[in-house]
Amino acid sequence: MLRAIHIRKSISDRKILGSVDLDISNGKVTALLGRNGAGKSTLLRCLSLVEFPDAGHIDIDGDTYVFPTPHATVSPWPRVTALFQGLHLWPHMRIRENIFGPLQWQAREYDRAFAKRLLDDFELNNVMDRYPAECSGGQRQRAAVARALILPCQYLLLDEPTASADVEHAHILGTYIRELATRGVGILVVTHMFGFARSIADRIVFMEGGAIVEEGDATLLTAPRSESLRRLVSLH
Amino acid sequence: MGVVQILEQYAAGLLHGVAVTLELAILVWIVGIVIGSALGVAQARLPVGIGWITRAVAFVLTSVPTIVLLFWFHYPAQTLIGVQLNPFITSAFTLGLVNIFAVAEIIRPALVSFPSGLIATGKVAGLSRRQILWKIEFPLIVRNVIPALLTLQVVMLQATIFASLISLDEIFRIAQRINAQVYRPVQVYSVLAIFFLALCLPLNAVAAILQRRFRQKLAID
Repeated sequence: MLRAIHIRKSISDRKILGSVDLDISNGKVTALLGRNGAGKSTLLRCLSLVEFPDAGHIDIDGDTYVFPTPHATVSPWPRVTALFQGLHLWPHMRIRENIFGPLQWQAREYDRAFAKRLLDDFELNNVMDRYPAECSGGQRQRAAVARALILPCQYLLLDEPTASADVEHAHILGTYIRELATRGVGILVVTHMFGFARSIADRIVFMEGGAIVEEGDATLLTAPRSESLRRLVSLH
Repeated sequence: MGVVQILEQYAAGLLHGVAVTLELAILVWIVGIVIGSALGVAQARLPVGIGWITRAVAFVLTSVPTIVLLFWFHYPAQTLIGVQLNPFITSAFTLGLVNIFAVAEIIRPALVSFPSGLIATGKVAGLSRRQILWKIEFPLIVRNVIPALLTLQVVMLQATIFASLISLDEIFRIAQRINAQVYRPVQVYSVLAIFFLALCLPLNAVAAILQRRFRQKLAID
């Protein structure tokens, strides 16, 4: 289990996260919802260990990292991998190298059949030799998502993976997320698409103002308890 | 007397001037790029206080015209410390110093503004610190700074003619002396212009091509 325990984070005296607790269970999909600025992306970055909390613990399958003790040498992968909001494809590498480079440089094994099927379904085969700047926004997003999905891991954290996706590709992505969950991968998806969250998630978590306001199964989106979630649900 | 005759008659002198100019330029380039890059990295990576001291020195150096610095290091500085240095050494020191801080001012911002998300993605993809440095940071930073570095080195090459003012027999001073003898300013200074064109034009062209190529290939959005 990937656990965030009493995570706090401030940036320039502005509180971003205030004592957040969150569990990501193996084989389960957790959808993290909330308005812009709720702290979702910061929480995801803390869980992926690329940004360190000011206080709290992060526990990955029993290995506990206590903050603010620095853990500069901690490597999140192969246990945790992530897709960040900005996609961050390496602009000087072709799409093929962006997706498969990390695996080849480290001579790591991966599920080649899964990767081939994913590239077919994501319609990326004809852009593999292009640079990111030569691809459309949707293609870049699918390439970044493909990189994260193909990297073998125990916990997969996805920050708005459908932001530039059309309905069809969002649906395809949902099936891959569910497939990885059935293989035992614990998945956290930050999204603003309530329908997408409802279709893929075992658990819904709603954040506001740097805190988790409520959580539950998919019925949370049909019968929200908090006024703020109720207001957002009414807009969808 | 035409251009060809001048070239024939003063070939030895001109070649000597070319050699001195190139020696000086190459020394200034190497010193500036090597030490300036190291300084730029230090400014970006070391505590802010150290960065501010070196930036203050850079601010002072870039506020004083190069020719004034050259004269200052050649006359008052040497009088103050009681030494008399060869003009070549004074020129190499002064222009090298200017180049060091100018190169550092290109390297530092490129490092400071490097997108942290590209490094974070490398971390979550399992890359080691060394792999992130050599496969992501270094190639992108090099692509980012090379056009500006090339343009700066062209400026430094052109600045070597200031050394003529402290009696260094580089190409400009040789040209002046030839002109004083033959009084053919059009021919003499045309030869000089062609010499600098032959060196600077390809460097400027490469800088422009690389800038265009990298901007197109690396730009996203």
